[in-house]
Amino acid sequence: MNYSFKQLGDRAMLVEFEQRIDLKINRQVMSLRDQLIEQNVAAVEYLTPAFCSLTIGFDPEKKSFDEMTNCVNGLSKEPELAKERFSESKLQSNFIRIPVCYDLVFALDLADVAVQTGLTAEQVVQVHLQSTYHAYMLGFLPGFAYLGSVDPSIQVGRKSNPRTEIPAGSVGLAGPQTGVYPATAPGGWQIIGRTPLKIFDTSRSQPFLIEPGDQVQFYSIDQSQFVAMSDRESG
Amino acid sequence: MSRIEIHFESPGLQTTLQDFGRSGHQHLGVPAGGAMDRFSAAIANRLVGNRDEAPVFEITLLGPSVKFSAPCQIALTGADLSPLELSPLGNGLPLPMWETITLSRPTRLTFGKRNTGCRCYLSIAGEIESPSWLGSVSPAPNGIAGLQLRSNVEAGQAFECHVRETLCTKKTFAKNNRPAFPKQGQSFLIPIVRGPEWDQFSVGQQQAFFDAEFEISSDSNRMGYRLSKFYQKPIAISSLVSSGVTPGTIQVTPSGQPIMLMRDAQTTGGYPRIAFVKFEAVNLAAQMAPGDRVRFLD
Repeated sequence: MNYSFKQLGDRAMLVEFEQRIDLKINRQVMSLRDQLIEQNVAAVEYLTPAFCSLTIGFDPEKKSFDEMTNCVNGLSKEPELAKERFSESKLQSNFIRIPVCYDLVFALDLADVAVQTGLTAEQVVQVHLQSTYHAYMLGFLPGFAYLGSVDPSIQVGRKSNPRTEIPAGSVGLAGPQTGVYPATAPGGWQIIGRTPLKIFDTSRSQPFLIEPGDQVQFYSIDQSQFVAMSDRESG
Repeated sequence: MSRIEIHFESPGLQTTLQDFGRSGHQHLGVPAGGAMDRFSAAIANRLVGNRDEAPVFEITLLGPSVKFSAPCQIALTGADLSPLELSPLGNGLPLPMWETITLSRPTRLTFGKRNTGCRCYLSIAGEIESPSWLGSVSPAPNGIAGLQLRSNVEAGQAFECHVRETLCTKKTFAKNNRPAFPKQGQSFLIPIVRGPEWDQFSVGQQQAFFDAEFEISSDSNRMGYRLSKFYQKPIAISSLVSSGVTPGTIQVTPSGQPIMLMRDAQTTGGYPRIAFVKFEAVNLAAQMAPGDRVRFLD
């Protein structure tokens, strides 16, 4: 595990790993984050894991930049070894199954994606369904998880003209990533379906369905199931 | 404790109820939010005997018209937006800033001309009732719907406040400890720390960053300030993999426009971070308004 430390102003630091989107690197980021949570370092105010970096917000009156550096350097560099030391309950990643209706009513760009990839719409959906995705990070919008990696056969670029409004629950593709819009928002991802689940729900004790490091799998539902599940969600 | 009502007849340009926000949920993409100028918010609270992070009203540029239903103690800090106490006859009596004000009868408070700063903080001795989410009454972040928060103040909105029976002794916050707002025609001077991508800018661009006097664009808000460009040639920086940003981050778009992220900014970004406003100076930066100018100090 190789990383370097950079100052993000005078109250946060960046632990920067090799700068590429890679599952192994992201697991190392999550491992560092988990160890910092486990150690309950009093100076730490928040932790923002990203693809290949960890942002640590800290109180410089409790620990200096150098002391924080030493603290991180003292953590295990082996994610697997580090994991064994933890109480399972606290830090296990969740496995989440998300129903998606790929009907063209919701799949605004599925026909385009099929043309771009040289596949049929059904094949694009089959490929999207066959992988288990890793939540690399959340950002852009509250609850928006960058999921990867998408099979190369259905990787497509962002739309050249982003939409001003993408409905909440829309499932999109962008390069090696797929994701679900937690709220109606502007965006440039290619939309291939929609989930009736609420990605974000204030009435739940854990308001966000997906958290960093979770595993996500999609399964296909038809329109009538979509309607029934939507009703249940808002019930 | 007794209850009073704070009734907003008009909300002004942008009035919100703010505490110190909901830090600790950045990993879920939730910005911390909270009072833009925490220093002034904390002092407003101290002057009326509240804890530093208690909810206060953040008033932006054009103040509201607000009625207090019964006697209470208040304080006004931050931007000087010419606060006035309206007499029953409609005459305006200027109210002092940075000190405890005792309103001995039901009072109507209004504001006038902006003299200095951008955001004025109004505290009330006691506890303002308002629903919270993730430990904060501050407005919901962008992209969050369905929260029943009441912190974006609208015309006609009323808040209940539990006020203490015993008055606190009058306090004044010393003049030389107050934020130093620039005089008319002068720039804000904001101290920075160099960012992780500083070295990716050319020596000329680095120099230009310190030499430039930036203007705050009208396209600025609680998420961030857009500043005028400090060089015209697009930057040749390889695209970054998204990573964490914080309030005070100054990132530069490919066209050369710096954006200073503020309290409501998203939690991750992909533009090169040329510099960071020092943590305490984010409070001063929060008092800049569109059209104001700023210089950065190393």
